[in-house]
Amino acid sequence: MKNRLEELRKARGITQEELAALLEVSRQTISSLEKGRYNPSILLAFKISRYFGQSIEDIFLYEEDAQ
Amino acid sequence: MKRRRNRGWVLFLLGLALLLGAWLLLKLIPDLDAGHWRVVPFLALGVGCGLFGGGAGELLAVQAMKKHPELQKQQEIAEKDERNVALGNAAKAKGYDVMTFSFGAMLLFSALMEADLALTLVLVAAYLFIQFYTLWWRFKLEKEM
Repeated sequence: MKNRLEELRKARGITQEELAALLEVSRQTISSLEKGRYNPSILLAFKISRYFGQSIEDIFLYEEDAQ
Repeated sequence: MKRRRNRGWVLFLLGLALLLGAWLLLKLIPDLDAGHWRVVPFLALGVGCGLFGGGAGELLAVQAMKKHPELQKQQEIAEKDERNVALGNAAKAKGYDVMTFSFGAMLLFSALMEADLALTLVLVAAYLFIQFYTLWWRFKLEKEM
């Protein structure tokens, strides 16, 4: 699933390590999320959306064809 | 952290006790080599070494983390990280699938080679136990999720 995580993170001026520490996940998880290789659990998606102050749909872009 | 330290001490002391037990058995019962029990001290030695090493490792890790709390935090995050947990579970599931087939093939070869029946039956029992344990978890998880 595509997402705007990298764009939002860079707009905030924080590193992957810092975002990982804030969300209490590993840096590799942030890296995988940004590359679209890993889809987060609903709990992590909520954590991310709350941190950036945006809805989940605005951050994670659902594509029906990808299923 | 406390639980980990306690587990470390239990493993360490249990390992030490087994090592001492093995040494005592070998020293105090000289004709042990001749009997059916000759394997016991060496088994205790092997298991004792493993437990002693594992326990000592745990205690050293706890000590190192006490001095560096940020290391402990990182360790906790790595253990609870959902991607790490998902990767571990997926890898275990793949391993289980391969084990099911390889274990089945081993049982078949064991029967074809006319190996000791008792050994074959023990292997069959272990295989069935694993399969039923998997089914039991399947039903349990079906109810929970």
